[in-house]
Amino acid sequence: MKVFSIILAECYREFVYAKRYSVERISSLVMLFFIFFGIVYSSTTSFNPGQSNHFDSISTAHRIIGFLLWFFALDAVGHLSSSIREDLHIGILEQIALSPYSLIFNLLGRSLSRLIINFSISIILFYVLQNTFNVTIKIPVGVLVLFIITYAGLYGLGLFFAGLTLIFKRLGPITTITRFLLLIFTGAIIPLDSFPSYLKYFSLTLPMTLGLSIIKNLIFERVTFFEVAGSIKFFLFIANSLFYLCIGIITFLYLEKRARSKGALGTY
Amino acid sequence: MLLETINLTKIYKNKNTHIKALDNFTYTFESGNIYGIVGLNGAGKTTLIKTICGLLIPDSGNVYFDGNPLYPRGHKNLQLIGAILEGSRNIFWNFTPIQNVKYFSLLRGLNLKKSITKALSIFSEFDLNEKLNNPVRNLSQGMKQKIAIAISLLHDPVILLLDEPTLGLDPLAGNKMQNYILKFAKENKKIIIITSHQLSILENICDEIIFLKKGAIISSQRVDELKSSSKQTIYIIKTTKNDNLKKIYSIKHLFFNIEIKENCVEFKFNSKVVSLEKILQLLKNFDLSIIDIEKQKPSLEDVFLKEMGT
Repeated sequence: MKVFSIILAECYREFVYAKRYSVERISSLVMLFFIFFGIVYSSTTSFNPGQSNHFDSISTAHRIIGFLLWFFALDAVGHLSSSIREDLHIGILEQIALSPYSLIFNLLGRSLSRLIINFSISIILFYVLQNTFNVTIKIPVGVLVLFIITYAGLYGLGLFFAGLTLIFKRLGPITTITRFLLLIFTGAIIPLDSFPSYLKYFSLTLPMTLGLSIIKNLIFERVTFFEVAGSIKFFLFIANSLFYLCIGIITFLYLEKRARSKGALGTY
Repeated sequence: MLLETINLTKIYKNKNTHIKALDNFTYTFESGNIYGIVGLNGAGKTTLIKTICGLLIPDSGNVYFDGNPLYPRGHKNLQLIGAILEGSRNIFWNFTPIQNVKYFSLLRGLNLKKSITKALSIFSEFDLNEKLNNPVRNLSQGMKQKIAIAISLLHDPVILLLDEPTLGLDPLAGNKMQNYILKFAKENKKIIIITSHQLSILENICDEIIFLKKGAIISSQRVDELKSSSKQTIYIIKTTKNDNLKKIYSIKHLFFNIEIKENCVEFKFNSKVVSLEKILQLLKNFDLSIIDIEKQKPSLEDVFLKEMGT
């Protein structure tokens, strides 16, 4: 019950922040939209005046799904680290940590509330993108399960960075690089087949690649969830997400203990 | 409730330096008492507070709540603690006081309605009722501190740790705070541990004072004993000035304080350390003529200066 209450507290905090800093949230959303708009158009438009532009609605639909999943990854990977950094910076982390429970529950609450907020935003973004590029995408219910499993892996990566932030304080560039790795190497905007084989193998180790690939199977190839669930690909997908989640939890708990030994919860 | 710290030791290690912040700190704190921890900067006061509330894991030793150890797996005991930490924000400045109450109530698993009612009653005692919908950042330092203390009391802690709680408070607010802490400890049988550099406040509200130096207890005393102690008398001797003053610094360890004023020199010393007769003889040797001798009971500050050897 107490753990649930901690999660509720963090949800409350995120919603107060979301309301207070709504302009920042909206402007970053508009910026994201323009980045995506640029990415899609640049990939379908030629600089050569003699060559005709070819707008491929299927590729665009693939990119919209990839982009939306990356939109969640963007927050899952970086938000926990940046919120820990902010708490350290303003000096309130110790008061929050004054609890019988690990900070991991606070972070779970923060992640869940951001997930709810981002889910609402992504619905708007989804419709705006479909209308802008004039494509129609139908999403089967099974995608939700795949999304949750993918998100669990991304959350693990977020916890890993949050733990490192407790000790090293500033990790901004590392989380930014990771976010762009996820955009480029997971098949979100560039098809995996276009990579050399060593990069393809590398991309399969990332926490979003297999999830996105299976989600696309369900959306574009009309494969049912139960058909996918028995495949080796699905097994590897679960193993990948579990790996990242476990690594995230273990690393965070270890580094939180280390931070409490060093007295690092109160220093920035 | 009995709070015990047994052999608490904490060493901060850097590449080249090892600083012992707590050195075998052993003490027993009992319900209904207010304990003051005093010491110079870096004496280990904040380290002690953070170790008791689980924010800093000691290198050795342990903290016991009614015999139950805090480390390594006794963190459920932390529900018994409320704390105000020095040098950090204890509440969100971007939130209003009520938003802070809601957040921290949820964080501690409290009933929201009851918490708000309780918070409003404490805010009322601290004269904060008019500012409840303003973001905390717009309030004065004193108000921020009062809100932080009110919020630390929401879950009715058995142990309250206050690291410099009166920092930034005006004398009136400081006085109200003292009264509230006193009432809270005595009526509810709480253990309160306070660190402060404002020794007069500790003298007013504490039952026991612990003197800390380099992480170790150098002495502890009940405040009433300290006040009624007849053995210790503080003398302030005013003398004329002359050229021998530089030489007198060779015996400055005998005094709490030597203050050179415009027309005289003031020597302050404790008769327990050195007798009045001896001091008078020494001053005579330095050709200093006595203008006045004042006798007073030692204040906590005097004892502090003596204990710290300054």
